[in-house]
Amino acid sequence: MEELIRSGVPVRYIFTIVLKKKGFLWNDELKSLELRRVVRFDNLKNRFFIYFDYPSTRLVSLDQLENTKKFLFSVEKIPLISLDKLEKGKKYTIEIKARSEKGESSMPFSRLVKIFSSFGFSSKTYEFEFSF
Amino acid sequence: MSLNSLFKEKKGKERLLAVVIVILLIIFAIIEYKLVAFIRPLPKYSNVLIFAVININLLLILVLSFLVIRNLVKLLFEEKAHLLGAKLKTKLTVAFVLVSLLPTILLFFISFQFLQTSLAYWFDIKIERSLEQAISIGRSYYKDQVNQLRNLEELISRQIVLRCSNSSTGYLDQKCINDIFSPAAIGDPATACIRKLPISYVCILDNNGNSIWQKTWLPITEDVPQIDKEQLKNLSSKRQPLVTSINLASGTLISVATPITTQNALTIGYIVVGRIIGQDIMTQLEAVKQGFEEYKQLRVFQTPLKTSLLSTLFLITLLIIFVSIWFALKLAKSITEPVMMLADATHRIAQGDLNFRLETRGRDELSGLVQAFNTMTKDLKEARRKAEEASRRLLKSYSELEHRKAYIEMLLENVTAGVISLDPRGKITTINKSACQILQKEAPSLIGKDYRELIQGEDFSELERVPQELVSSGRSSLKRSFRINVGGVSKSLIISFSLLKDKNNRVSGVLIVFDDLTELEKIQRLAAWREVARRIAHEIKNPLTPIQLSAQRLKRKFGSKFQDEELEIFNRCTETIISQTDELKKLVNEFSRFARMPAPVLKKDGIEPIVKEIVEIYRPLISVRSEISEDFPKLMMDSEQIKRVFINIIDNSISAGNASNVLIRCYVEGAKAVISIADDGKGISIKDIPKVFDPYFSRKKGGTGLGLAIVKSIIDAHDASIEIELNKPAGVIFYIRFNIDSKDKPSSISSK
Repeated sequence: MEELIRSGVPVRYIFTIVLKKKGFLWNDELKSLELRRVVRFDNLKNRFFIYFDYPSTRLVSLDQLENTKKFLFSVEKIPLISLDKLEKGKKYTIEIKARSEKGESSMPFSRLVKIFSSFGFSSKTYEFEFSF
Repeated sequence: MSLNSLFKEKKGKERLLAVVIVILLIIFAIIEYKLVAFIRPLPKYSNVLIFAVININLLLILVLSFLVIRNLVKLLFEEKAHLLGAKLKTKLTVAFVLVSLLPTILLFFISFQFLQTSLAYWFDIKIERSLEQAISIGRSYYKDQVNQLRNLEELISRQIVLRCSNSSTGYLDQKCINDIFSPAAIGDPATACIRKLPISYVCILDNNGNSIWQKTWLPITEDVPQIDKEQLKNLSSKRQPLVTSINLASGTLISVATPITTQNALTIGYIVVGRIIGQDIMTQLEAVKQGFEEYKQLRVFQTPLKTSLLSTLFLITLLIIFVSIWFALKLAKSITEPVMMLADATHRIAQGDLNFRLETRGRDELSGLVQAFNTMTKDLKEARRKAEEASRRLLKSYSELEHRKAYIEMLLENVTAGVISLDPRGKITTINKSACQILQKEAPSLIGKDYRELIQGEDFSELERVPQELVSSGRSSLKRSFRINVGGVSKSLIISFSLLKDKNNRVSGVLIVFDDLTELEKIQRLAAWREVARRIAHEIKNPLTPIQLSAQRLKRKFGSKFQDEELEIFNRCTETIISQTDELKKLVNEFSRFARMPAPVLKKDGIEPIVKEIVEIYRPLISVRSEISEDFPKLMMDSEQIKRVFINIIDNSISAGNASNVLIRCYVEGAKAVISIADDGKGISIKDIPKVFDPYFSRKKGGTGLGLAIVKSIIDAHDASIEIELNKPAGVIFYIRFNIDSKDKPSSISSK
């Protein structure tokens, strides 16, 4: 993956966050959110660039891979729902799942390669339960 | 099965094939989607096109595989069944497949090798090193630009801290900052160099990241880059400048942001300095970067890239192979189909079927051949129609000729006269039944033979002269009477010779027509003799009684007047007169009987009583035996006349042959009732046999020669026949043959 990113291929990380209210038979989905973050390494500047689309669009430039990873995978302080929409004493779950995919690149045969390469991953869904 | 139903069946199969292909397409799409989805998550729509292309390829390959395999199997079966044209089709298919397959496979391996080599060249270490060096230069240049900007920032930052900041409050004086960059500050060596710095943009921000002063040398149209406040806050702790770059119309603006810190390390704000790097340099740097990145990416995807390229090559090769095989099959079919069609049509023509027309498509040589074949078939059909018409006419003529020939043959066969035709060389060309019967010859053995073979010996010399005489005389016909010997029997013939002439009056042969006058002569002779006999009887019989009575009277009256020798002479003379007169009376009676032969009174009667009576009559004289078969039928006869026949024959046997034994046999032989009378007398010479039944023919002394003539007359009057043969070891046998009435025929006829 690192080699791929360092080769200049933009890699898209998509985080799917779903807030659900626990129910008797099934859970009610209150909010669903998709965070898209694109990381790209600029070989000329020797720097990593991360594009965030939520909560606001911004571009962050970093020179260290470790810092880049921190920025990239840190899902904190994401406004999900207004607190007044949550009922007190109720149980809620937050499901989060991440997946990655290769972005468009200028490489020749990139579409053809897509079919035969095994790039990309999809994590399992993590679930956190909390009471309000 | 009609052509229409065959066409419908074919259509149905094609529809089924289409449905199968669609189902296969769906199944393959699902399988592919599932396979890829399990490997990694798919973007929802990005790969649809590729899937479609691959599916179409697979579908094409499947369809082509099916077509190729079906056609190959069909070809195999046709070859096994020894169908007409199958061998040619196989040969053409193999030839076309080889012609297309060999270069395709060769090209595939060359392309494969070429691809391998090309990929090896792509990822050659020298190229990688060159690219790394190129990017390293680019990075150095970029880093150098950044470092220069940092140095400038440091210089500006120091001046701002020294001149424009309050170290205790951290306040930055905007006017002071403005003065630093103002032309009014000319003469101040410290700020003079700042104003000459190669920068395009300077921005001073407070601690919160808000711009408090900025100056730009950028074109008016260009926007000033915004710095992320979040990142600015992190700058103080990291000691690393924040470098950003933004593409503008005039080039790429590289910005470096660093914190402004006092001598006691207090951050009082931030400074951002930017410089435009020219478009041409940036383009080159970008090109270097792109080249390097693409190379790196290709290296990362080397294996899948190789797999994909080889797979594509393989798919295309496979496609070409299948297409070429399919095309070869189609081409072979397009060539062999008209040939097979022509061969089949030739077979049909050979079997006599001309009522068809071959369909032609296109304008190639084979179509021309098919058209020529159609023309030929049409001509053949017309020719056959004409031939059939001519044949019908010929057949009609032939039938008429045959009819005429049969009629003439019938005439010839039924005419009682003998007819013989000879060719100019004297060879027999025709001979009818009567001629054969008269000449006692067999017709088939005579055809083509010389006419001289008809008559042998002395008789021929006279006959031989006639044709020459006919020609020399200038007449068209000549008539001659001949007496010839046939089988030892003398026959009287009247022969007419006619020249056969064709339309051009050329002699093409001789026609000989002759009649057997032997029987006629016999009848005429018999009639003449009867007339003679009647007259003799009439003239002689009348004076005989007075002669005899006179002689008896003389004997009675003058017998006593003579003595001794005179008496003896007298008595002898009168006795002689009386006895001779008796003999004469008998002779006259015979003559009279012969002359006045009454017509037979025919009635159905058995032969046995007559035979028994005959046996009894002759018992005192000779031994007469009889054998009568049980199935011997009753005959239509005059019993008295038949009795006369027996008596005359046996009398003849006794008187002429001195026979002492006679055997009478009555039996059935075929359709004839035969009565044979055999004796053991001295018999007769063979040459006298034909004359036996002639009147007045006798070999015995004092015989009248009328006995057997009367027999013949009676037998003829009964519509029967009589023959005489020599008996063995001695004597003769008379055969009398009666026709049996069909009602009297025995169920099982036995010949004895």
